[in-house]
Amino acid sequence: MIEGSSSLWDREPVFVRWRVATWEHAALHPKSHGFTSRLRESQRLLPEDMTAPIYALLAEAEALVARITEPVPPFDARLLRDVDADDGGRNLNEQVDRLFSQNFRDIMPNWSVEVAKAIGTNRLEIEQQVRSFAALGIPRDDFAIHYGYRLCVSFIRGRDADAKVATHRSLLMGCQANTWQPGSMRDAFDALMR
Amino acid sequence: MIRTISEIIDELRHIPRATWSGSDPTIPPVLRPPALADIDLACHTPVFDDAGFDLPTSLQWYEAITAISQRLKQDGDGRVAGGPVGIDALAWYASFHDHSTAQWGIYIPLSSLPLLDNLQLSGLGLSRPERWRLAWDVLVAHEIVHFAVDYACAWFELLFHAPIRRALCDRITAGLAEGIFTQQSNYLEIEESLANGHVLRKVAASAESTVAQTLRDFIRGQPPGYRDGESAESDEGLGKIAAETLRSYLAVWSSGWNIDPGNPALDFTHLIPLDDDSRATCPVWVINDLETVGLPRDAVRLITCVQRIEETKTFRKSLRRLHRDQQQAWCRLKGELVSAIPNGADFKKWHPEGVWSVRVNNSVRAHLKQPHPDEALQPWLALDIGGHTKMGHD
Repeated sequence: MIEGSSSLWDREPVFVRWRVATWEHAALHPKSHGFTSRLRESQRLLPEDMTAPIYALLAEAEALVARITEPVPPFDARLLRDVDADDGGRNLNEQVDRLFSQNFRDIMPNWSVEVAKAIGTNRLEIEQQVRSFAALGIPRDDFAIHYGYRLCVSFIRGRDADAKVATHRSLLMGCQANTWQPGSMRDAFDALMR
Repeated sequence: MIRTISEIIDELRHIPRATWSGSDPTIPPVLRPPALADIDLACHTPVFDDAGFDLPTSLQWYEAITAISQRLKQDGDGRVAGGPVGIDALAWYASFHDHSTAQWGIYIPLSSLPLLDNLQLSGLGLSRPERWRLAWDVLVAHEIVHFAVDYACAWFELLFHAPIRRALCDRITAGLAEGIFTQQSNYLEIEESLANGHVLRKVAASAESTVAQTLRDFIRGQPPGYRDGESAESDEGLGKIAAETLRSYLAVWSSGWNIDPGNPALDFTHLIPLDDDSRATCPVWVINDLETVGLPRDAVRLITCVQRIEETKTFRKSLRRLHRDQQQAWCRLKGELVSAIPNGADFKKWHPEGVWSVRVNNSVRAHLKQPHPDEALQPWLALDIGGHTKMGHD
């Protein structure tokens, strides 16, 4: 029974939210500042085969987050599964940062040349559009990948989000107490406890 | 074979909040009939008859087409008020968690068949009854996944002694932490992807290419979640989406107890009963709501069994000429037809005047004459039986 294990169910949940940011999406949708909630929603400016290794890194980073978190629909955030939330969060951030710490040159030797070829005469216009995403403009060979592509992970503790999600118990019951909420006097107190 | 549902339901009732009273599943959520409609149990593989069917030109029909097409098509997000969207606007699954043992199951309004036909399938080179059967198969293939997930969920509930499904339903409907987290849809998107993936695996995979492409386009045009059916089409994709679906139900328990359902070595498809035997345990209810869309009550005729067959003199004479094994095959088939039309019987209309053909075995066919609609209680007449060629089947 939930009620019997108070120490466990009174534990605070940690929500994890991530956003994918790419300069390509920023160039196509300047108002988004390059951010999307999932990689599959990020639109591409450059040919897919050209940037495949970079998008593979983004997919790997998303998979890392998905691996140690659980989907908690209907929210866009996920729940951190790790018992030690602080360690779990730190480890996750370190792993994600490590993925994007290489330079463009490390994974694509002719990055700048290929980009110049792909965007052609539109360079100035694109640089204007991505300005709010990256003040220096289009990433170059010697830039780290996270300059142009990154996964931004944030952690939200239940108590900082809302009293209704402050603990595992409250998240499950939809309120801090066991009674009433969420619907019509908790469906007439669960049909008078059946 | 899966455990009897009634045993599971009985055990669920011992778990606080695991079962509750949901909305009346017999009332179609989008096209509401003015009065109570007839509801009957149907088998999973019915045959359709369109004798006398004319495509309506009434205002009711066009209103129904508009209402359904708006719900079927792709929207900006899944938070749509006023009832279900996507394929669930045409059929729905009523869970045994929140419905009585006499009410749970898959519900299919008869009007959904000509509506889906008109909106998506009419360009296919199939006869109308074949298109209705295709529409039926699509709807059942989608809804059966909701049953399978419901079943898997019940297992976890018995294991954890916790109201897992209820917690998810409450989170979705209660608007928890609104303004802090973004609520994506008012349904579980990933489960809809799984369900539409099953449509592609079960129906499109065995259909000819034009049918498969039509179904693919139909799925791609639906709201978020529904439109990602192709991600669950491959075995690998199905495994991933099934795992994510069950993880969505288990999230809080997994987080609380440090359970690791995301381990890539686990295969959750084994917990989701989608084989034919398991399918058969889920009741399918048919709602005759045809008048709601401006059609006569008998415009879509559903043949689920042939309860009484009277053999004519000619038939008996032809039967005597057959080998003993073939005579026995006919007796077996006749017995099976009393309760359902067996899979593989290839039961199809042979002549517009109500003559139907049925496959007795590999080489033998029989022709049956359907009673006139006004004499529905009369038996079917077995007209003739014989080899494939003799019966005119090339």
